[in-house]
Amino acid sequence: MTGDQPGYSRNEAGKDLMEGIDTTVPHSARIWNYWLGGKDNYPVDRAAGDAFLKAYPGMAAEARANRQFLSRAIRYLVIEAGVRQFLDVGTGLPTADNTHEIAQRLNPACRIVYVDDDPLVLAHARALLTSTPEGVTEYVDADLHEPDQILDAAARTLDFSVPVALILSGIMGHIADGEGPHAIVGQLMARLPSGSYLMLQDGTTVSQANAEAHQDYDSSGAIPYHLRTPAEIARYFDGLDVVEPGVIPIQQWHPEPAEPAEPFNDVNTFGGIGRKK
Amino acid sequence: MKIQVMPFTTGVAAGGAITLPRFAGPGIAGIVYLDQFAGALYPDKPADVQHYGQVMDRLCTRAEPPGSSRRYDVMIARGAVIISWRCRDWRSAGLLAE
Repeated sequence: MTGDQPGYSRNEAGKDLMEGIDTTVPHSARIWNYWLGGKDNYPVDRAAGDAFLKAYPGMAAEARANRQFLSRAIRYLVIEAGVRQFLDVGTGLPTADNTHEIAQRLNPACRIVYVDDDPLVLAHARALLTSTPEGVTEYVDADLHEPDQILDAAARTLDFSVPVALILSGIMGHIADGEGPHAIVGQLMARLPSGSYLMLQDGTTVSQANAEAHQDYDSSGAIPYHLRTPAEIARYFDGLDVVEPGVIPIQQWHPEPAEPAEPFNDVNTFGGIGRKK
Repeated sequence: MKIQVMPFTTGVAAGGAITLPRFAGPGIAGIVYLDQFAGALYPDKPADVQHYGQVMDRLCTRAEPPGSSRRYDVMIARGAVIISWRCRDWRSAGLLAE
């Protein structure tokens, strides 16, 4: 794009501005924003979010538990594992404690690359997720279906000769079985050096209510989200040294007594951390 | 504060300056601030707030990202929309005409 393009007419301009964000179908990042108490969502997202909660009331607590697990996992990676570089695919709309904020609070020199393919998410992330002066926070517009593009772009900010933590938090369900979700994770980890980590969490089919709520959601016109079994989630960590106590319900992973406990009635989201040998 | 620039050549339909404050509490309803020659308007009907929010979202996704390497003087030569983000407190879009 150059500065000397011919100007648009008013009508073309008006039409153009109506494209880009579809506010007629629910969008997963905006629904999560709604569940987490954010305001960057539309009526269609709130309606879909409410319909989901009606079918599966545990989801709001599950969404908060998802963020708490992310928090504990990043703390583990910085403090226990000494990781200084993070590749977070599926940024989502900014919430209270984002990956770079947790990591840079513990070590301001941490470098974080966020990846998303949604224009609204990227606009918010670029404007609101700001780095410490000592560290780096960068944003990449790329699709999880194209792992090599993600890695090529991330390599401009991260040093692949020292360990990187790959964060896949509630994102793998966007990849259908036929699109090889496990192969994609394998491709991403393959180019990271020994001593790198995988942190992954995702919804499972364990909760019948959750599975039914997802079926309704998938038929709402939204991009479908594919739930998997706990065994399929654990398989993402094949070949890695899984950090104890394993790939388990996220609420039970290194719980912290000081943390406000979310009601935990349903086993649903599974997650864990693995280290590349 | 982060600044985004959208040259008029990109295609603009903002109409006038818009400011969207962002209140921290989940229960606090949104409001729009529209600067006028004399005073200001504060639309607060949910439908209005949503409409202005949608316009703002579209401006933000169409504008050059903050920190763009493109030259600002070239981008704003024929007028532009300037979007400013003040932390998480507000987003504002203003016209910079020729």
